[in-house]
Amino acid sequence: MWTIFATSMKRKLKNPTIIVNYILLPLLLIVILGNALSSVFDKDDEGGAAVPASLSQMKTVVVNDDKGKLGADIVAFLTSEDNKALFDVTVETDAKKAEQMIEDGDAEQYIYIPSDLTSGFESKKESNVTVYGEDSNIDKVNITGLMLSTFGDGYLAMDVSSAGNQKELYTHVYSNLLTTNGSKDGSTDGKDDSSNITALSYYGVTMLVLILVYGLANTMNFVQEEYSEALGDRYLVSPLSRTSLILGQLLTGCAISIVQGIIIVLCAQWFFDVSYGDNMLVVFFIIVAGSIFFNALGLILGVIARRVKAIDSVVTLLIPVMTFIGGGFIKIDLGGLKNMSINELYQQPLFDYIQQGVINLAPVYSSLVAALGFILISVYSLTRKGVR
Amino acid sequence: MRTVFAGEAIQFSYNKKKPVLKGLSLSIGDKQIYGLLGPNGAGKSTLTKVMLGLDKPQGGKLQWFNEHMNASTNRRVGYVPQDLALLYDLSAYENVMFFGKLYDLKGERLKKQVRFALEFVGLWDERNQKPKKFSGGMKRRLNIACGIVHNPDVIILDEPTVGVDPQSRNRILDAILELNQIGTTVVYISHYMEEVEKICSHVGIIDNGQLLCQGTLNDIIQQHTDQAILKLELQRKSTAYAKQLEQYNVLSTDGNMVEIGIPKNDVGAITVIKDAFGEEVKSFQYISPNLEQVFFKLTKKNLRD
Repeated sequence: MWTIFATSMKRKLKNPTIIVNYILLPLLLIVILGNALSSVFDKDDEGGAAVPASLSQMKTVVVNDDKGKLGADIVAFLTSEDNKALFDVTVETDAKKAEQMIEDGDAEQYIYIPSDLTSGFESKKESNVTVYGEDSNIDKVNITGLMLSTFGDGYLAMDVSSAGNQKELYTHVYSNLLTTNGSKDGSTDGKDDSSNITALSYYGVTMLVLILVYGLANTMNFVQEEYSEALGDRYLVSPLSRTSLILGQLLTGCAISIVQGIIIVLCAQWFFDVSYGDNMLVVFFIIVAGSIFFNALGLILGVIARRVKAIDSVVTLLIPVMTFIGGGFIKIDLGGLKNMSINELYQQPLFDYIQQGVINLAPVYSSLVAALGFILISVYSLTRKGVR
Repeated sequence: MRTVFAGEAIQFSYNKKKPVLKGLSLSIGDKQIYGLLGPNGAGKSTLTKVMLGLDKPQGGKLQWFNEHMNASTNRRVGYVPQDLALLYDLSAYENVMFFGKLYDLKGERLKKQVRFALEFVGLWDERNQKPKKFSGGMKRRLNIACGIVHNPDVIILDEPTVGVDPQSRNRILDAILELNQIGTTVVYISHYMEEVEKICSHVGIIDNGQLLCQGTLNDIIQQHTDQAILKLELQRKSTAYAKQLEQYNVLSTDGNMVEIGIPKNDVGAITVIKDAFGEEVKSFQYISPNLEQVFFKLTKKNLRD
């Protein structure tokens, strides 16, 4: 296994195009995409370089159609003394007028409380508060969404504790937390750079995942090249066990992916001030797990389809498509379609951790189990002689 | 003689409708140079893969060194595939070193074996060059070096001289003979009849998934040929001698050339025929029974068909 690993690494390192393809390209993507699209994230970010967003008091218009207690409580919450530093609230009764305020720039966000909020809550039916805002104010909108979610969680907790363990029906009004503030203490003065999310931070995550996904293609191509022709026959007739052969190849791919991932993270942090959260061990674990998963997937594809050259083109096409669907290139929310992107398996836990401090590694653990299956099938497929 | 490989009633097919090996039996003795001949599609490559364990036979028995194939027997067998199996990013030395390591060679022994293999194929001076800079013949020789670095008891060479210049071909053939002289059993798969005749002590002819014959080169020729050939070049076109030729076993005619079959080992027949045509004979050539005749007789095909 170590012979295969060491020799494969040597071969890769001797190839100068590897440096360009594996390392420089993703870094370049972060810079290009991050800078080119930074205005989408923060309108104050001018002059090319991304500047951390600074949150001042948010001009907010609220339309409360709910005549019940919950609607009133939300308005009271938004206009409370505690939140005055954050929200400059105007209460409106006409939704169209509120929308016009957004269009005219008189308000940065518009919170709509539906008429059935309280009744829905009491009758255990779903009802959502909606926050509207321009893309340029997405940071502020996200923070408001997060605060309202927290408020809703508190309400739900009280309800559950008073009514017993009933089924949870309340759902967060906001799910897309890709660019929300990761501040733990709720400060909004922008002094803590790590608490502010920039376009580069967003691409810091999506490009990190993209480079891990590329491990799939790299390992698949490598295995295809090694095993489809005479070279593979030469490996297979040697006394080396199939498991050693497989693990040697996998280890090579993983090592490269891990190095790539670390380089991306370090360069993004050092040169572009990208935030990857407080505990780098979590990010490192996700990089290692992602490397194993994507390379194992590449391994099984390479072994099973080692004589099917067309699969290379399919995978090469699918990777950018998956990345696009997962919002990797352009920050886009395609709803449920996003879940079809394999990148999401690793993007979401990274965003959860970096921006909310939430460590939700369930998808990562599931992918590791899948990786183990891929490896076992690959070994079996190679061991089963005569497979063509 | 000790048997290094024994295959009995080997059956193999990629799909059930078209079997590739139909109960083929084959035996290779120690220190032989065993030439495996067969026309395209005869099943040579499949047999090679089955022998190496790359394809699993559906029937029959297969043993290396009187054992079922295992890691230990694998260590004793070397394989030089027809297609070049080299790592083009690495130097010739690193290539051979890598394949040596796959066979558990380490330290000084590995270095010694790498040197032996590269010197053996005449590439020691070019050891630091990458194979992509090599000529076709040099690549072939490096391919062989990678297959013999672990000093196998048996080496299987699949068409090792395809696409190489005559000089490299001779060098490869000499190397194979030398390898055999130091005790290595050689299984030589080739399209080139003259190569097999030149270096092989034993021959097996395979066609249509079956072994048609096997044995020493001389035995096979003796058993499967009954005539030699007398090739005459006449003064006029052969049609001019039609009546005279009727009494002979004419194998072919082409312009002034006539090939007549004569009983093998009957040297007297040469004189009789030559005298019968007298001054009409411009030149003549005696072609003793050979492998090509055996091959044609058994397969009804030319080897390059």
